[in-house]
Amino acid sequence: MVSLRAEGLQKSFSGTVALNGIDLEVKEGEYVVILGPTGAGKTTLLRTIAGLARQDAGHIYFDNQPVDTLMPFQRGVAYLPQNYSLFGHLTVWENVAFGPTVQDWNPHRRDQIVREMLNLVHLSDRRDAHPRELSGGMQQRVALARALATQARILLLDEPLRALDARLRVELRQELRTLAKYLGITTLHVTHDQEEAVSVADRIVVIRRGKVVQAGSPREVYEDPSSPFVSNFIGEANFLEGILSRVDNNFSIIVLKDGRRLMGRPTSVPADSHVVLGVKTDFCEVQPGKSDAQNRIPGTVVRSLFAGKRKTLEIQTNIGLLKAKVPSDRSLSEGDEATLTFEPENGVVYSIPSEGLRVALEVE
Amino acid sequence: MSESRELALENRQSKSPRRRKTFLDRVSRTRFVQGWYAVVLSFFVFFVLVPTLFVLSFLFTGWGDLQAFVFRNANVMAQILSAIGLSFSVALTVTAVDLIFGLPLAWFIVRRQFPGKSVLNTLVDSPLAVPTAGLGFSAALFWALNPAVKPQGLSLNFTNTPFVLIMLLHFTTTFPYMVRSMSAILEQIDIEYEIAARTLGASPLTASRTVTLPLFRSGIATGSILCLAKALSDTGGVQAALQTANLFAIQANSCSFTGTPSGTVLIGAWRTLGKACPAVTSQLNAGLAFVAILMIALSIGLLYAVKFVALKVRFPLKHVWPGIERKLSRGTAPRGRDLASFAFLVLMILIPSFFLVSFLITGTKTLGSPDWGMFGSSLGFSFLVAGLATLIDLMFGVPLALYITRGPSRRFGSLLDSLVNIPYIVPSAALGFSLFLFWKPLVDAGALPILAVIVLAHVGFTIPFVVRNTVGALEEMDPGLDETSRTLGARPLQAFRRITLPVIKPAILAGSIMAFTRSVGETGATLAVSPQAITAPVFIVNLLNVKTGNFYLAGLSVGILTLVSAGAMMSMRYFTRRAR
Repeated sequence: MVSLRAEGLQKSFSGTVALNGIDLEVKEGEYVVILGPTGAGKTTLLRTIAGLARQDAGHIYFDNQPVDTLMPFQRGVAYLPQNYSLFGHLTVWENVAFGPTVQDWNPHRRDQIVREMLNLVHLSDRRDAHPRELSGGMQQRVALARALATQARILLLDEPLRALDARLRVELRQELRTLAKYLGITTLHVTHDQEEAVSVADRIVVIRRGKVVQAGSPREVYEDPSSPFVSNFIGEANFLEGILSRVDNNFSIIVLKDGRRLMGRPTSVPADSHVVLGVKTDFCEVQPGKSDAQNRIPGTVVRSLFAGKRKTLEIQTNIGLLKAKVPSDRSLSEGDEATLTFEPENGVVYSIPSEGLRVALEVE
Repeated sequence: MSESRELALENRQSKSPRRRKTFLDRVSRTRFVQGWYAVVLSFFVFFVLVPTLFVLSFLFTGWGDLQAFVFRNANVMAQILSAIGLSFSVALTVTAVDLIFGLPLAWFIVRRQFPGKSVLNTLVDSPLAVPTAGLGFSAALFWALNPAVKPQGLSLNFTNTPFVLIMLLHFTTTFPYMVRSMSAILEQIDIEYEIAARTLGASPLTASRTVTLPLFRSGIATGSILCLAKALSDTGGVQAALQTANLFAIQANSCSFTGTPSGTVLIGAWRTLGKACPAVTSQLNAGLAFVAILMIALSIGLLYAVKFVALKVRFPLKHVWPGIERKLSRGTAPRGRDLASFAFLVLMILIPSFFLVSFLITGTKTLGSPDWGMFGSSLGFSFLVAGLATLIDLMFGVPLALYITRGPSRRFGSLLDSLVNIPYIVPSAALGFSLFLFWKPLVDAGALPILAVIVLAHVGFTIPFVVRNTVGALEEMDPGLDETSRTLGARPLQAFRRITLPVIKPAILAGSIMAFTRSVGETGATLAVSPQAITAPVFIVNLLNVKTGNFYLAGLSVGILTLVSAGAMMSMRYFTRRAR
């Protein structure tokens, strides 16, 4: 087990910046998820840590020892690439035994560890199969066993569940976490799927355009997002633009352009500045009928999207289209008059992003 | 479960003691790898590329000779220009006709499922097994008006025009390359595009013409380039055909030849005469150099012209005539098209290629006093040269391919990639003569055996096969395989040996067998380096001589060489198929 630290990592490919000064700290045995939209630099970050790409600037430390000059085979990192890269000409057993074999372990110890790893991923009975004969989930488990068999100190998972279908994905992500925790291996798991991130991580590091935008426990990044982007990327949020008219220790008051006053959390943004109030759709409630009381925005239901236990209601108000996720048994349907409401503690105040709200939310 | 956990933890804690540095560690060091690449690159530049183009320097060093013996000698100049004109006009005509008949056939092979598909594939490939000298002999027996020997009435007695005869011969040598390279690329084009176009209302002809054909430009380019190179390069086939048809003969005692040779045959003839008539060697060398320079420059120019036309020029393909094209897509038109290409395959390719068999059965079986010893030693010499050349191809070609695909600089890699094609597109007789001039000082000083120069010449025109095939396989290979193996602890050399090599092995094998068979069948390069080196094809061409030759023995020798090449091709198929 080993801790991992990255400082100011920079990397660009012929003009395109992939990593733009990434700082990262992972404690021994911690399960950290790197979450970001496609093209945020997640894969490059993993490849840099594995030694497959060399950073332009910055340093990487394992247990406070710099590893910048080490070749991949000297780093002791288990890297699981997106498409698994199983060796097609080798059997399951030979795939898993690959690391120990090229590292010249004694055959007895090698066979023992391969057997253990195959047991661990429940594939002992398929040891003589070739990868192409296995299902997607099995292939993923072979790749995992192969990575773990090297007794690596750090496990790097690059979108490990991407190629699997939805149901299997949910099943396997818990298995992954259980296994990593059981072996106590320090894990860095990259994904663009916020639901996956929230459900397996000890800590989430959100990156965007090659930069860390927020790091914290799943709960922290969900409930206390540091920017409109994070707020909208993990879950979904309504954004209400206005002027911050008053702040004190208990709440802040925002005046919208139609003169409506809304209450949100206290904030460090100075009063009278142009702000945006972010409210997660999960934390919005909808009441039938029109009401203009405090923190209430009246409108008309224009769409109702059923999703099992909860449904999403889209409400057209005079300040724009707002969404709320409510229990499905709410008897509101398209065309009904309704009022959207939220608790002041769920409204987070951000100063308006300099590049404009639309650009700040872009998932590219 | 808990047991396994203890084991895993224990294993992790018991850090393995630092291993002593092994051989593998040493050769995996960056400096060693860079050193090896440097050796490979300098081999390619100084032993392949520069010698191939060395003859161009004759423009500066031998300007006086060129003026005296070529430019001011109208006779020589006329011979050179007619030979080069013949070579290029035939090559261009053959390529155009091959395209017209090859495209429907390639389409048919790739897009249709029918019983006997593999038989058709084998039939298309089969002329490749016959050495070109044999194809020339066989085609001339079939087509030529009054060939030197008559295979009792079965032959067509069709022509005695050199242009027509050489063109008919080159169909047999080039058509398999055209169909093969076009079908290989057509196979990679997703049929879904065409299906989408058809559901949008396009007729089959419109769909394939406007959707698939534009995606297919690289196939047309590759096929045309292979075809041109093959037709321009051929020496043995043309010489065998012309001699069999009584259209060309070398008269060593009068230091001249009769008839109209092609460019490469002219090189071979002048080299032979140069040995026989030392008095005129320097005149002949000036002429040779000029032919070689012209052929090299023109063929490289042609390569880029074809690439440009096939890949960049916009053809007016977009306009659609729905009514006409729909009519043409149905009924007799497509059937006629397929029928025409099949008829072409049978009449122009298969029968002429294997007409020799009828001669061997019905011809006058006069073996005279066959020089079996000479035949054996020529065969042995051919295999020695081909074996050594293939070995060198492998040693340097595979690392070169690695450097091209995985080297430090993409741009330099793709530059190298296009340079590798130069020795292939340069006619092999010109390449041979260029190498002869390059190494002449060392050979004359006795420092280099002529065998080495012959082998290097064969390396020149065969190494592209190994490099091209390996580059293709490496580009298709998932780079993640190699990377993952390295994170699992494999040193670069281990990763290559255990992961990359098994994946690209079939391609390397295919490339080296192609190189080997091509080398065994080569005449021009060998003759141009040394007219005294008797490889099997040279032996055959020498036998095809009305006065001193022995046609039946030549036919038998062709048969034996064909069996050997066919065996090599079969084993290639077997190995590549098994690897899949």
